[in-house]
Amino acid sequence: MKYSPLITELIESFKCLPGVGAKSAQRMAFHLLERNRPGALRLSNAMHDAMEHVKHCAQCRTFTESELCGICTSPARQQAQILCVVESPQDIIAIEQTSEFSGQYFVLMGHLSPIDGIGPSEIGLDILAKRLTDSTIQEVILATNPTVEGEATAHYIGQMCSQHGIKASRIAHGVPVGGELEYIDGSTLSHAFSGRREI
Amino acid sequence: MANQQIHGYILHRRPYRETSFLVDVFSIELGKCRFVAKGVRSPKSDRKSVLQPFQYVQCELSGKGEMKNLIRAEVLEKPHQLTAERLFCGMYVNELINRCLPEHILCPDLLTQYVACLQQLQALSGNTVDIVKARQEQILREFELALLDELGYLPDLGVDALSQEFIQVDQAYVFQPEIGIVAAQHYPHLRQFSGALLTAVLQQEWSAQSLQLAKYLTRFALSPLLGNKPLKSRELFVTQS
Repeated sequence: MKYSPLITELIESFKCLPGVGAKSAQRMAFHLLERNRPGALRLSNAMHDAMEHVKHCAQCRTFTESELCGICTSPARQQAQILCVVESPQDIIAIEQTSEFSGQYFVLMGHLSPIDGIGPSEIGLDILAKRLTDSTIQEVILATNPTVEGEATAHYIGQMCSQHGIKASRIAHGVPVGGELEYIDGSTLSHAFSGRREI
Repeated sequence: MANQQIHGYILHRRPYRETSFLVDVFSIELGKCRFVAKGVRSPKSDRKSVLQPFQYVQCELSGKGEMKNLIRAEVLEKPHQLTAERLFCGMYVNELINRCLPEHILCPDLLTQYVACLQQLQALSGNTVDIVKARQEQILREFELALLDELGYLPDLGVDALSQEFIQVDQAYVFQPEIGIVAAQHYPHLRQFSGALLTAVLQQEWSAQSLQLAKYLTRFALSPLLGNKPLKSRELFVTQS
């Protein structure tokens, strides 16, 4: 059966969401039409506004609608003079939830992956280099993912830091809290052993 | 149809759909091939660390079509722990294979060379910067020569392609990609090099000059394989010079 043009367009549009295929898109479209029209209008407004206005923070490249994001404008965080480099904006949220870190961030929006055509300039390392030159950062924490590409990215940025005479450190990786050694994969365990520390 | 067992090194993986990876592997049984690893990116999957580049794995694949599905993957040996610049070298080698080697062509000799290359790179850690830099160049050139040889893009470095005579150490030669190594007088506009240096490259007797010549030859010979898109991993080495 063919739906009217507006409904077809709505269903097609839902398919752009991750994990949503034809069937789910259809379900969502009819749910909103039948039961939640105000919610749908709110969603469409929110989407429109966000897509129109959200851009990258000029300093840390995370998503924000202002020129600088909330973290970059905070004076307390500027005073910390520590910069944490992460791969995605979601990583910032994860780190913020721990309340462990009170410095500023830099979001790469990816990692070095030459095979996929992602080199240093694609992940904004030219912007980072400028920031390392201009500001008074004392330490850079490299919180890229513990993958081969993440390590390569961390090493590349580490070299940039040493050229600027800035201390660079890599987050530790090893056994998760509450985990059992028996079920941990070999690579993680060998990292945990090589990164052991005295108590 | 019975599932297929393959043994090989992971070259690369890229995200595919919601929770899957498309994995490129350089294997003994199938040469370079690609498969889908379903559900590996989901938070619960414990196979994330298995499917990492430079890891030697045994995989069970199923499926009739060109694109197989991964059923099971097991680590067969400790992964090659490449650190610092050696990691960039490893990524460079992987990109070379990914770009140049066609799929499903068995090349056991090249695989052996690849393993040797990874092992040599790994063994470099702990040396001084100068030694590491020189050795890295050698390791990469030797791999590039092996790759070109495997693909049939390496000219015969011991023979003048026009006269069919052996290379004379006291003569000057040029490299003409479509023909091969020829006496310099035929192509005066190309870069000239001595027969002695060329013999050193052929016998892999490395010095600063022979490495430079090997780099020139391999770049020139690789260019038709790479087309106009340069190797991205070369950018990683820029800040280090």
